[in-house]
Amino acid sequence: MDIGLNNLNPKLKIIGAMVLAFTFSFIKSIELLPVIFFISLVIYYLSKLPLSLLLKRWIIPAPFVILMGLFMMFFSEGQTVLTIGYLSIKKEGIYWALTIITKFLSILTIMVTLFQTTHFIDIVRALNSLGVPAILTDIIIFTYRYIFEIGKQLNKMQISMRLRGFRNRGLKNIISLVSLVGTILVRSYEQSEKVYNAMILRGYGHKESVKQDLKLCKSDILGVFIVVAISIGLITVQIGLSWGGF
Amino acid sequence: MTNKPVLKVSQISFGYNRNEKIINNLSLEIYSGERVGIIGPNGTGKTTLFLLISGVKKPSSGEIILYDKKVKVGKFNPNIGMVFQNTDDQLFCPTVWEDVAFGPTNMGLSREEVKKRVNNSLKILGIEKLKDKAPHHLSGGEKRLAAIAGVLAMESKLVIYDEPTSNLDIRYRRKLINFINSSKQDAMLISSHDLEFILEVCNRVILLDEGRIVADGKPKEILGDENLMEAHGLEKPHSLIPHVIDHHEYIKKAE
Repeated sequence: MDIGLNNLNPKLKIIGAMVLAFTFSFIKSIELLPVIFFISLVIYYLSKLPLSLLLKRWIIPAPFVILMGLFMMFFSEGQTVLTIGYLSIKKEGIYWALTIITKFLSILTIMVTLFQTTHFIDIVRALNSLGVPAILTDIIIFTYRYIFEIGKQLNKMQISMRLRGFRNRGLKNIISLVSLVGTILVRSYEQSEKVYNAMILRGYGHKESVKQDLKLCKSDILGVFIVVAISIGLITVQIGLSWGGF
Repeated sequence: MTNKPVLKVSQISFGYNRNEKIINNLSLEIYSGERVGIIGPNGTGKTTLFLLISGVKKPSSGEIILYDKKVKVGKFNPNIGMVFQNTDDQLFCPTVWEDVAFGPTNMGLSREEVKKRVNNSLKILGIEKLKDKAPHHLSGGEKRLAAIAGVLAMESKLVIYDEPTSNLDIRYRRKLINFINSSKQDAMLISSHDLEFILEVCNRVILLDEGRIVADGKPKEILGDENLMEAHGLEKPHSLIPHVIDHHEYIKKAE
């Protein structure tokens, strides 16, 4: 049986990712932090995606998370571990910093796995079949479709400006840049009207859109079972640790 | 040709503001089997006329009857299909297959029927291999064929083509000509500045200028009338100029 994540039903992937994300956010004990981090890495490994991709995704928000961790280390209440000048690192601060960074990286890894193993459009459709209103998912799909067209138009206009001697000189060119943005906005508005006309002509709103069928196979059921089992296990251990039972 | 028109346009007028009239008291009848070329200079109201006929815009006066029923503005009517001038306005779905399936799905057809129609349309136009592609990854010619497939799958009786040859290379232009000449749609309205194309695919031509019909007849008669064409900012097509007279000025000078 193939338990590769790429072939799982997108709807179940979303449910699984959300369940894991909420479970990870529920974890408070430092003993469980390596466990959730390890689980997220195993899930990423099962997706057969390259490690370099995950590292790239981690790097983007890293400065913010590190900054927040540093802030917590220095400005939390508690027992001082080390003093640097006027600043002192607190034991509780290190604990909170480690908790936030680990939870953040684990949840990010789960979300990267979801978005890298499922086409964006399939995610949007799965959201629709999970109950997100069609109007919202349609807007997301159209935005995804036309963002490329607007990008192309912007690129062409920029080339046209450069070919006619435009050089970016900051505020001196503010009028030209405002014209560029204004033109793009007006064109987008006009195009949206034309697209709407084309949609009406082919019956948009005439009939409710058909939601995707949920066809489960053995690997889907196994995947959901594993995720739910992990979550229940982690939450049970966390509750046990909080009560001092373990 | 039957006696009853497929489309009857009676004295319609339209303007975007009170002072202008893009379409001016225009009347027109289209019959089954007709492929009508609508020609005229830029800004003469060709696209506006199409939007009025298809029920996208409401005429300020007059009425439009399509297959014995009055065209209702903003209402879906599968009997009429329109291929837009800018294909990006029409191809709004994430993949070609879904875009072609959009119309038939909204018509309430069964999944099997939708699938059958979509596959059939893609096959007729020879673009089966594009079915999973995103529209923004297609070339201009591929986009045009995908847009046509979307209308073809609806099996509309009257199909409107607005500037179908714009941005097409010779190969896709020829593909389009072959497709239109072999298509079984009841009637067609085709606007184009490509007069050679009109000559190849149409059996009737209407010359529009300033929102009025100034000539209506057989393609060779209308397009071959040099004085008429020049009076309305057009040129007689090259293929209708006899080649006994050397009119290739550039070649003559070069020699």
